[in-house]
Amino acid sequence: MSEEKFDPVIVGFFCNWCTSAAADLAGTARLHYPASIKPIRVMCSSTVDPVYLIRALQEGADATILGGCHPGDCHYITGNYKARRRVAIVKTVLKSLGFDDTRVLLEWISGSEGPKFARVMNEYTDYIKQRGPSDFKYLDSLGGEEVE
Amino acid sequence: MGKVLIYGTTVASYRAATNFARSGHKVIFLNRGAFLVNKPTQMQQQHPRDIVNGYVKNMLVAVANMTGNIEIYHNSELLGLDGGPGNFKVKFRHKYPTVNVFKCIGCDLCVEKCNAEFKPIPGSIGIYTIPDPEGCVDVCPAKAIQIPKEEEREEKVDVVILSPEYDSQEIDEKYGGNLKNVIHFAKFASLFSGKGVDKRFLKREDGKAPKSIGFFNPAGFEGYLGSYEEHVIIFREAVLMKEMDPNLDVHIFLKEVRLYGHNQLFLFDKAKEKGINVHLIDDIEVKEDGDGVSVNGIHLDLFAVLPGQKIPDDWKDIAHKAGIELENGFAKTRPFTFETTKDGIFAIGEFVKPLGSAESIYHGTAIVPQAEKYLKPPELPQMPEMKFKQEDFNPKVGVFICECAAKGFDIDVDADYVIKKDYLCLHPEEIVKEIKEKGINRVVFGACSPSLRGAMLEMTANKAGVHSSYIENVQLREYASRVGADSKKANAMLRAAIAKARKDVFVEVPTVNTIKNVAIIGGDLAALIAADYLVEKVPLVYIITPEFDEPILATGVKENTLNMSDEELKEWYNTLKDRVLKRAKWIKGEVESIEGSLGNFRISAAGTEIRSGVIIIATGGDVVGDGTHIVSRMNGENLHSALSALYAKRKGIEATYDLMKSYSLLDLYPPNAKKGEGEPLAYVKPRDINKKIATLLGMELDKEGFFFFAEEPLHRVERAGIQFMLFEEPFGGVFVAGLAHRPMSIEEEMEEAGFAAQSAMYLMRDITSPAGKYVSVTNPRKCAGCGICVDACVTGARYVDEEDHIAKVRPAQCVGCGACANVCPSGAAIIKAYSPTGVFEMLKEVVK
Amino acid sequence: MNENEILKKFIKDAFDKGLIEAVMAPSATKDSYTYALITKKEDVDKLTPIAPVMQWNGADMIRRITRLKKSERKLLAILRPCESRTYKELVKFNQINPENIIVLSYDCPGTVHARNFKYEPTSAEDLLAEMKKGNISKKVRESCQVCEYPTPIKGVGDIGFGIVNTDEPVFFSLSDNGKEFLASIGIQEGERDDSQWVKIHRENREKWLKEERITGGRKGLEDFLSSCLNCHNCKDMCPICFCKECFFEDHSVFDYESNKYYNWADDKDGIRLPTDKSLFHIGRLIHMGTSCVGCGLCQQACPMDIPLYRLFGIVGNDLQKVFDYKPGINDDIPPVMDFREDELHEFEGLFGGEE
Repeated sequence: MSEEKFDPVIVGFFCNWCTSAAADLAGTARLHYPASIKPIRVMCSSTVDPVYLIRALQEGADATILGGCHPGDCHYITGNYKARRRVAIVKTVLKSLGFDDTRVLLEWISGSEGPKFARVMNEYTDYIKQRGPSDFKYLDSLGGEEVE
Repeated sequence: MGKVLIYGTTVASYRAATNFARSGHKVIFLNRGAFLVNKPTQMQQQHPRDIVNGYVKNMLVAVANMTGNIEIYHNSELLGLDGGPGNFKVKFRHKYPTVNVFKCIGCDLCVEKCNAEFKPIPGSIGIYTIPDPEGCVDVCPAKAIQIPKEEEREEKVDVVILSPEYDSQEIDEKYGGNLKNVIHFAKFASLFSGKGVDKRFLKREDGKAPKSIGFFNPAGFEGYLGSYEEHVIIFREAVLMKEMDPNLDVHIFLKEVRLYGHNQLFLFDKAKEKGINVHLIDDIEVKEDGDGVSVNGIHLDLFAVLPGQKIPDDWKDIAHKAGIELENGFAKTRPFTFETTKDGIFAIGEFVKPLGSAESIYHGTAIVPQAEKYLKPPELPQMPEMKFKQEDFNPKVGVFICECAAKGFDIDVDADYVIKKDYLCLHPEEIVKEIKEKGINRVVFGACSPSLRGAMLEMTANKAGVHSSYIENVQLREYASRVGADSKKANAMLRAAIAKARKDVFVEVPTVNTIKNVAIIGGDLAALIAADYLVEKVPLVYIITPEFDEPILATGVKENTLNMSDEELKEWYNTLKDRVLKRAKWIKGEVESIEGSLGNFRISAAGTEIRSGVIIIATGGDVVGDGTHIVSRMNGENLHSALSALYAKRKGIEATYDLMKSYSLLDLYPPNAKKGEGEPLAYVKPRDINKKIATLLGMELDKEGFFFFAEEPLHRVERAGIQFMLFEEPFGGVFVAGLAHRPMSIEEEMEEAGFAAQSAMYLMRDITSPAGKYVSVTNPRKCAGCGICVDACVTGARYVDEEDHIAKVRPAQCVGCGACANVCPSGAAIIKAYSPTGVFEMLKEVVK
Repeated sequence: MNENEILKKFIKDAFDKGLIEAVMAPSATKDSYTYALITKKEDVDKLTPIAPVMQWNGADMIRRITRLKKSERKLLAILRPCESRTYKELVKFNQINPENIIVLSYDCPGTVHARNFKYEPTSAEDLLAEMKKGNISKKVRESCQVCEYPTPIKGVGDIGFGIVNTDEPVFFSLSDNGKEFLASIGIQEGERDDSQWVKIHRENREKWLKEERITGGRKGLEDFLSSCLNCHNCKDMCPICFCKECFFEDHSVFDYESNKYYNWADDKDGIRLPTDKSLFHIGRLIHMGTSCVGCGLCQQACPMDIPLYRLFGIVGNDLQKVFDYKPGINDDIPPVMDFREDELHEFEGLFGGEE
């Protein structure tokens, strides 16, 4: 796959109250960002089981984003702190085994930060484009480049 | 059903309108701004990133849509007011905005065809302004465009509530208002507004990145008022700046640190710890200084001023038209009420005193029981009972595509039915017809955000007999067509929703049968006031206390701060006590044990077993020390107000929080004590019983022994807690009022007691889980009883049953955040609507 | 008297003094040792308190006894240091009710792999003799060679039994309950210096952490797990995996329709069956890694001899470093049950909070 043709798939788990609202705002404000972002609305960033993030990568996502409210602003008061712990666990496990842990991104984007939402989506997509496709999805398969 | 007119644009007025409407009264809401969404409340004028305002407004819109009890007029001006309670005639002028925000569906046709101007607003469709509305009326499919004519109206109402807001302030010249690089705090905060707090965005007008910043609020200086909230905002922002860039030189200039009680002081400590310079000053001199400014001799590259609050000139005019009296520029209210000098006219919010958002919300809630004495009994709309088919063994998925959302997309998905319509939200009856005719039992909407019209679409599918568990919403508009996505993304999102819909399982939303009694623990004044509101309305009110506090003690200070003689106060108090005890049941003694939870508490006290749905804690406090009133400034100490008191206490000297009132009206007329002339201190001491009650209920006390309430201890900032932004359930059926919470003035006791009573009233019904279809459940077969979910649950909805060692859910308290499901290693705690089965299906489709 | 005899006498004395009503300790079988629960003094001789093999984690056994209701009798449990750490960790997870239980732990010489023991029996005395010489026996399991805490720790368990660096074994208390217990039984508390024994283990561990790490991401993990049978034995033997039913064995989640298999095979250029093998291990790391006590039973349980402790132990070590958490050695709350407001900023954003 040549680099300019690489169109990443990024799964975004966005909390209902902040990051989804920011995505709504980016929408109402007509701020364009790459179509590679595939949003899934969840109630709270703490709704997202770490296994979901791993599963998204395994299913073929090139990266995942978990979006929550800023610390202290969580609609459920402490959900985002719990989510941060889970993300820390996932990223540490990935990094420890030599996977690319930057393919899991944790971002705090509040409901009024539509422009920040678009900016993060743009920057992250660019970053993942540079990194190239993820080989995580080929785990336990015959595909990918690594297997002779 | 009574009719209430609310005038003004404040957090208190928004909340009051919301509360009256959902209590079952009609509300005429006169918004003073041009649009519901762009007239900022006082705190928003100063701090555009503040979230409280957004929440109260969104809640108002939601309740207005839900109950149909709120009529809103914009650009309103009060013209005159006649009559009395139950029979007011209110004349006002108003002007329609060109677009009715309640009707607008955000389809953008007016932008395309009539050059409408569009401004996005968080949490709403946004604001359209139409240059030539006459020519555009027919363009709008939702008929939301209206001719902006000015109109005079007269409304007949039972009660009038006045809550005008402060004017927005510019920076006074004394504080550098005319200087370059002196910036209004609102402008400073908006540097990061929407974009996030990031070094890249910290820039002065000339494009330079400042290396030093100062913050200032003139509260306490001549003519300027303020509550603690401005200082909370300044400290928060300063800490944020320092966290963003530790090399930044950050200064705070204040007359005194108005951080009060509980956790606010945490901010002061944090600021100190981060190396922020806090200057407590009696005079300020702002001068131009090279490429920046100098403030009291300190060079700053940028100086941000939160300009503070002043009593607006037009309040006099409003008071005059309403025929009420002012006192110190604020509306004069009668002791223990929000009622002004004229019967049936109430004043709330900043019209009464400078206050923060939390207190504004107290006002907007406590007003309801006070005004209800003039109102006919409320009428709540009866919800039609819906019967849903629970098990659908053969999923039949119907996909409804809204062309407005799917503009330009080539929709190609595989489902039992794919139905495309022009504007789904404008043709609900057609959706119902299609669902019924085709026997669709799972619905996927490809439309707009649930925070816009998506919720209404869900209700439409409910009407057709499809339960919410089987409805999926795909935001084709905000997530795809408006952000430049292609058909591929739209189809992937739809396919994911279809896959999930096929796997959706029925979620029964549990309803908890609650006990419709209230138990009040303690004999504080707040206990009596809360009981007074409740005795007429709930079957039984218990007051559990060995004795009631004496009136003077009950006011929280040794000196009577009301304009009442001690005899008058005593008489008022005794009448109140007699009236309450005639109807309420007094359990003479201490609480021994409390079991159960929201809706079903079992309390034993003085050998009696009591059952109640809600508990109000009003244990009061003791006033100790030699002083007659609580002093705010220590003799010879450099620290001011509450801070000095707290620091003194840490050193072992008996001192305390300031009286909350002393930072408001007393700014205008500082008492001698405040000038620091060494008067002896008085101090409010929390009672020992708090410890026992806190243990029994699993609540937390602060260092001094006061209850935390509404200010989440982890949140650490005493402003409107997140709980305020939901309705009552998250409090778990326990409210704290009066001196059990913190030292406070007698008026504040009334506010908190009113808030507790009114919130308890809302809970006197069988409670459907606020989580809705996201309610958490446990699979007992898998649960190992480890209790990780109990630690994760923020509302206390989960507990491990001692009997079978399995985690159980109290559905009345579950808010559906899903933290339990996330942390459960066994997959025993689940949110069925986000079960791994469904999510895995989605992931498979979405990555294609 | 050798160590086992001293301990047996200790137990008998405790029975005599009425300090205990039951004991849980290893007992020999034909080819191995299992835990045994006895309630009578006359059964004490059937026990081998210090066994050369650890077939199960003893804390896991106590979990079975007390998970539903507290122990109704006064129980003395003889646990290895790693087991008493497990015990402490499981108390935090509400899986063990510590009431009425006294835990005795000792300076551990390590244990032999259960399968090796079957074919090449060793005695505890051999291992103890090596330990007294200051050597870690080459026979003991990999996880024992790199054990971080091979001796009893204050606050973990109740009574310590010191063997290293002392002529005669000594008893010492680890908790107030233990202090009282020793006083009641009439034993003078003794001392011994275990620092050398701990030090050589830690040195091994440092080296091991560096050298045995699985690297290389997908390729590394696939190669490491290439012979995995997906039998889930490692999970069954893991004392921290206390779930009644593992999430990764939930048939409602991990059973797929045929098309899903075919689609995967399409997309991934062929898939290996059974599926979700690596997901199971990664998922298990996410769930238990922060609390891995390092008993190494995962590795002993593997029928294919995959050195699984290098996976769970090393990644677990990394995870525990992130949260500054040491499972089972103090009263800190396990990371999965707790959070702080001001922490982990390095995991926020793309470049760790810094943009």
